[in-house]
Amino acid sequence: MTHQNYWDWMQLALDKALPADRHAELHAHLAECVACAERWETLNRVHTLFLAEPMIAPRAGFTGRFKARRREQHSRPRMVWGFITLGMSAVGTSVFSMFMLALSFWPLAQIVGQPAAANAVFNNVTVASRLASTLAGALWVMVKALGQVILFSPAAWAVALASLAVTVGWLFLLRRLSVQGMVR
Amino acid sequence: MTEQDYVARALAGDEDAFTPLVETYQTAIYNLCYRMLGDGPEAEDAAQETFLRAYAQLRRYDRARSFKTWLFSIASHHCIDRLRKRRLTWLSIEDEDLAPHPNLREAAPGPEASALRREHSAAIQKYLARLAPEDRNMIVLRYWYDLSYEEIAEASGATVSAVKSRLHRARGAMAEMMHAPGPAPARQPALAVEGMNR
Repeated sequence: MTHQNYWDWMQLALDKALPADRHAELHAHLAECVACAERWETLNRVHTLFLAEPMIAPRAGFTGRFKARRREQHSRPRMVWGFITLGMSAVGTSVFSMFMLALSFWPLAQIVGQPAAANAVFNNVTVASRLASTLAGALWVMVKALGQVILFSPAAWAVALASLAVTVGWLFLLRRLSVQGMVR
Repeated sequence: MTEQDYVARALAGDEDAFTPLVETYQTAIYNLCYRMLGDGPEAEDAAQETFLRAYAQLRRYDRARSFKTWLFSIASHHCIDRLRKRRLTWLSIEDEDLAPHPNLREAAPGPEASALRREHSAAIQKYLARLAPEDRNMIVLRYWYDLSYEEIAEASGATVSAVKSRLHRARGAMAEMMHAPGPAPARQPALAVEGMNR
């Protein structure tokens, strides 16, 4: 038998799970082993300290507070649906705005997709430089067009930024609500 | 009326039928939450949340099981979740000057007994705060509710052998803290960071 075996028995003894015949064997060992006797004493001190500690009751009115909270929780689903509707609208607007912006890249994509342009790149450096020039020109035209649409259209900025802000706020609220267990 | 009758009535839609169950178990659940979390207001919130979850999930309750053990299971898991979330954002209570629970102060009969009670209570919460959440849960269920290994296993969702192992390890760690010299229990790096020692 090792000391560890006796330590396990001590724990079982404290939990009233040690068979009676082993109790005698444990106590015989404790009588002759100082280290185990010390450990037994410390474990007993922990055990006694915890056994003596009373239960703590909540403040008076716990049930009343529970009922109030339950009532409050009943009214929350409507609020949650309100947030979800608002959030879905914001997400929809964001997606639409991004889609419209992406569409403005279409002329650029068309130029890049031309087979003649690709061949020219591989066959002739001169043509390649012309293509680069064409691409740069197209890009410049697009940037100017975008600039006109976005820079000079505060409404576009306002819609895109507001919808993004609402989306971020909505995601934050959803996260908080899920932490509180209202949205699972 | 029995506990199961109240459950049946609450399931049938009688909201008030759940109230006697809250009144019966409020102290047990609050105490479990307080011992797990070490903070009065947070324990109140966790205990309220336990009953709200129990009410919302009443249809999932298996009537063959003990209602009390089912509540313990909800409260235990909820407190362990809170402790895990707290790990990254909240200073561990072991580093705070632990004030004893106000109800303990009121309950003590005289100044000496009051001082002793406060000292014991503070020591207990310090020891508990240094244990991993799951180990803490084993100690709380064992000492305040006198549950058997099997009942603790049912309430915590662990196996009986895991319960024994965690309970023995936790008690052994606390014995070592108590054995250590000095006014404050010695740090136990393997246990000090909640949940990191498994």
